[in-house]
Amino acid sequence: MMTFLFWNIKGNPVQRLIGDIVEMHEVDILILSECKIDEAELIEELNRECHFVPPSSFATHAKISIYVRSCKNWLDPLRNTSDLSIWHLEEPRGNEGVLLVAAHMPSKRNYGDEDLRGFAERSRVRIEKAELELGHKNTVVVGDLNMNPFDEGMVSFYGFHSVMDKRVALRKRRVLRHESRSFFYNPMWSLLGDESSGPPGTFYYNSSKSRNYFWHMLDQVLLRPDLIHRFPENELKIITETPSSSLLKDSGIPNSTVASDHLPILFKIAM
Amino acid sequence: MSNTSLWNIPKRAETTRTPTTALKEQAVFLSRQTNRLLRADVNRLILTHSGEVVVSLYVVAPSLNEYAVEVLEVRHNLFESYPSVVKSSINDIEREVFSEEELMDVVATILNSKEIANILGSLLSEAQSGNA
Repeated sequence: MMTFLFWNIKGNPVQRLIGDIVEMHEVDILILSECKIDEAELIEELNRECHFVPPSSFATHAKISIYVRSCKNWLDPLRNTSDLSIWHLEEPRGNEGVLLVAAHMPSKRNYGDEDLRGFAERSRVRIEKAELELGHKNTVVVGDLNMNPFDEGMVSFYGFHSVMDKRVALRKRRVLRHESRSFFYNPMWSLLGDESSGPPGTFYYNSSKSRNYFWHMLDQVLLRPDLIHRFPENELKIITETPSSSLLKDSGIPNSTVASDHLPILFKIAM
Repeated sequence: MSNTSLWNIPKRAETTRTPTTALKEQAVFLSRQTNRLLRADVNRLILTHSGEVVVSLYVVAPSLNEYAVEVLEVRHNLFESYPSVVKSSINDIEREVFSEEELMDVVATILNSKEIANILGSLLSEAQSGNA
């Protein structure tokens, strides 16, 4: 089983918290966005029990940083675009491997809905291209998508085409106006709202607009149907604390002073 | 049946060179200057639903499993090349341009930058060490 952690740390010096979470949950692949921590300092925090390294000396991304346990250093860089960092995670026993797409999409604050739809469509096209090159669709997308699971870019046939129901996703494809497109399964739907275990989302924003969700699920993981059977749903978590610190204020919203205004997400994939 | 064409086809000189054409011309230089250790690819995505064209300039390292890094992208409307938006996450640049001249000014700023030079240096070192 391989454990993944994604966190948008908003440029904050939270290396100790990252080290705590990585140690507590035995994370194998750490993905950060907006990381401005000195690499040596971060690696020092990560290397408490096991050796972590960046998977490549040359495949660096402006917005996304990746670190892997060196004993499981099977990540090969494929492509870096403005919003995506695309890697091939090799598997032992000659299996096909996993296409890992780490994402940090443009912010809603800077772009209108039309632009966001365009970004989602463009990312979807680039992911499909990578899948075609690799010859498989064992794809996992993880990151700050800057959209909620129900936003058009996430659900649209032309965007990520992600659905909340595994049974629908397992149909694999849908045809619309003579075009056929694969589904993504979006397990983050199950974490929305009060009745889910954990907080209602990964990001809290009290807007002055008439439509105010307060909680948003901007940090997400999506899986192609071919990976659903390898994804233990009960291991998907929004992290809110470490052994020594809470990532939340007393009010229950993310504490951007001591941590980040985004909460980390953790998930596993059987390898 | 009518024998008279009703089409008004613009003469070649009247058509605007697209950002794709301009970037392809630049792309050719990288391979020559790096002894083919690196090359530049121009990839054009036509997003019919969004009505947008996204043209990306990638640096590709053939000996590193064809690893590709996007250096910049240009977005414009499906039916007209300008205005377009040039963006480089590597340099944190995003500018709207209204002509090919303005486009190439921004492209020059990006390609001449320290950040891009660092990426090229890093890829060249890795590519050369593989060839040693």
